[in-house]
Amino acid sequence: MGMIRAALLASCLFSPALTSAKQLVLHGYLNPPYVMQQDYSLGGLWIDIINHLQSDSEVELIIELHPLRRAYKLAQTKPNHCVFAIERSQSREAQFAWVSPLSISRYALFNADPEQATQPGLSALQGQQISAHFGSGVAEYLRSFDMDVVVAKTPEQGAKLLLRERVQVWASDVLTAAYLRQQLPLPQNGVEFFSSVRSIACHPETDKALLQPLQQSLDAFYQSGGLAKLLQRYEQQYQLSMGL
Amino acid sequence: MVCCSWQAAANTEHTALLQHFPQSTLSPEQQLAEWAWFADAAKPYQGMTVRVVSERIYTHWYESNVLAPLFSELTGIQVIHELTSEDDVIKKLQAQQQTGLNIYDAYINDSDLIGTHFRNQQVVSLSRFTEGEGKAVTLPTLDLDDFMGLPFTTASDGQLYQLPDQQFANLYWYRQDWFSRPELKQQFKELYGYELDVPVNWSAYQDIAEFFSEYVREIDGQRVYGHMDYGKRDPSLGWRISDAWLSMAGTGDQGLPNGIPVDEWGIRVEDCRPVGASVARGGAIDAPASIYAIQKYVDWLKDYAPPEAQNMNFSEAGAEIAKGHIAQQIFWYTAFTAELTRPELPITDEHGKPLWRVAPSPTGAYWQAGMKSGYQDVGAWTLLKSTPLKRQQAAWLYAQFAVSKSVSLTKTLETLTPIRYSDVHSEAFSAMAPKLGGLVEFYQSSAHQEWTPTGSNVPDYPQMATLWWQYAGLASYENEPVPEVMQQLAVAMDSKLEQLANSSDSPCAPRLNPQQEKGVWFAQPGSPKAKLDNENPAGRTLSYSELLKRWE
Repeated sequence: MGMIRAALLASCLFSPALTSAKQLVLHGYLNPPYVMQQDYSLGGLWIDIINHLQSDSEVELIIELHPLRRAYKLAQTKPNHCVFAIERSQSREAQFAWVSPLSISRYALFNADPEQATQPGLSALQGQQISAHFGSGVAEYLRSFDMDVVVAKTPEQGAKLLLRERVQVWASDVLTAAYLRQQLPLPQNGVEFFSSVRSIACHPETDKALLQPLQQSLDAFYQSGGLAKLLQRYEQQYQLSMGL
Repeated sequence: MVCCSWQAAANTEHTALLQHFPQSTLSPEQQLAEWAWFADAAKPYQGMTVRVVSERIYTHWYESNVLAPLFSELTGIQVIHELTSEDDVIKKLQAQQQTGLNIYDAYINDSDLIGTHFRNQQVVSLSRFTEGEGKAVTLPTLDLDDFMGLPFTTASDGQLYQLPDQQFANLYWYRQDWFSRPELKQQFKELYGYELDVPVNWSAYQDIAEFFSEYVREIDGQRVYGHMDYGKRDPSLGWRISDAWLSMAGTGDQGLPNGIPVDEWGIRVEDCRPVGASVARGGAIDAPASIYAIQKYVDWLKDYAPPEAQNMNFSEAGAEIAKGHIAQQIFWYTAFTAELTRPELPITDEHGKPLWRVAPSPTGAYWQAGMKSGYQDVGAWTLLKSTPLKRQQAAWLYAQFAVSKSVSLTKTLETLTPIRYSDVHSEAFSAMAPKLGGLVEFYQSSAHQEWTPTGSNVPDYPQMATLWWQYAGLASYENEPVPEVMQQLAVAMDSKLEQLANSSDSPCAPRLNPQQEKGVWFAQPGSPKAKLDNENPAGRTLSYSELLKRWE
């Protein structure tokens, strides 16, 4: 995938420009319905939140889309560059400066066999192959419990492994699963097993004067109930409840 | 005797559960009665799914995979019991408090946060809950007085905020089989002039570390080391330092569970208000005792631990002693006892009995009797006010099931992280003593009250704990001089206290003391303590049997 660079508010594509000291560059990746390309603009839950942060904090934010690995690498190597949104975890804590939480994700296990679909506890998964997509953090999580995990490049590829019976179980966040269910004949009910805090992760030497107003705007968005309303809109659109 | 429906229902309906919990301090009839109560109390919540999260140790794996499904069968309440890293539990709890979103219905959160919880008032007081909105779902036979860890989960306002779920201590760990070898005992005595035995002070620990790493070097053809620790700049480094190094060195004041007025973090409290962490404000983070503690940590890690330890974190380092090449560790988390008693390991004998022992950790030059002796972790059930009441009530039922007397002895024998007096004094637990290398003796003595968690002096654990690993890592990982690092840390801690003072209206919020010459504070009794003329007194050791007498 080629790089897509978008100035927020205008939400349109334009040529790469030099980053000024007052700008934060947010490197994201296509991940519907969190980040979606809609004709010549970007949409999705995370884009909506970032749009709000830009207008509220007055920090200038530039979004660039890349494959996730590249986005992650850029945030690791350049001050004032960030990746969104990745799981904030103990192992990553020291590597980045964080604006957090951008969203909470609920992960579930979707089983092709309806008889197996409601067994709780990870130990019930022993001996089964599970697909999970790269970047979710869930593949690593399940592997740490000695689960047999096939890592797919995208959520859609992970889902298709289930549909083609290449794996018995598909692990996905429930919002992504609901989005993909509009296009693919995926199982309705998953067994929830994990929640993650997904955040904007910035190079550790990123200017605090840029991060602080962004965090304050994010906190205020939660406290005002604005973010909960935005989330409800997505829940209604995709007909699910995340129990938040 | 008052009769009620759940007692009448204590019939054969739940007898299948007995096979899962064969060991209990209750009779089978009493177990059945408790389960009948759970089934009855849960009726209004049937069909609900509750989400709880805990750190990733074996005890919680057992709960997630054994107890949660059985509770669901019993009550009709589904439980998602998630396991994750300790820092992630704290970050998720912080995220729920910050956003107001109900991420989890209950947390098993370390009692180290007690000072945070009672000040920010975002956590449900269990004292009030069990008498009010949670009364109908509070187990009549819960027996709070039976919980060993209650002093650690009760704040200075007298309210119980957390219910202990598992406990483990940081104790000295050593290879008793190596320490008993005549040729090594003789060699040690010739070199150091005293017996190779359990070190009582840090000088002896250092001598033993040097002895194995520099003089013995190989045992049975394997390179061995006299010390193990870790140094990677990671959140787990912070716990290593704040949990125990400063308390063992003697940074704080006398007093249990935590030093008064200066605790082992070096934070001074007046009334209930933190007034400073730096010596200039009456604290002790940059005091000689703290610098001594961190200098020893850095020096021993570099001089006596395996070279790879420098780049390890908590989880990576935790697996090392099972490999059989470490002679001693100044403090070791007993949460891993179950893992270290597997018969296939090189640190157990052919019968599966441990070749290692745990004992009281040696203390540093500034330590005095009456101070806490080390750290104990108490993971405890915590409900947040942002969770809807009905979900709090359903989660509270699961929490109590996980610690109920009908379940807890079997759980304790399986996971070795006891919480109840009745369990640790049971015949079944006593019978395990030969297999557990000193753990039973520790919990059956009064010592378990001297090994204590972080206390209520720390007003915002999540934010302040972050400073520990960020600054300690500069010394362990970046080789910056320890005195300078500790001064920077003291400034950062004071600054955090000031921020909290400006943002909190709690009657126990921080209020910083004015800065004074350090000498003014050193001239006063207690902590912060002036630099000792001799921080390296003669090494002292005691036999294991003599040391165990301290636990009687």
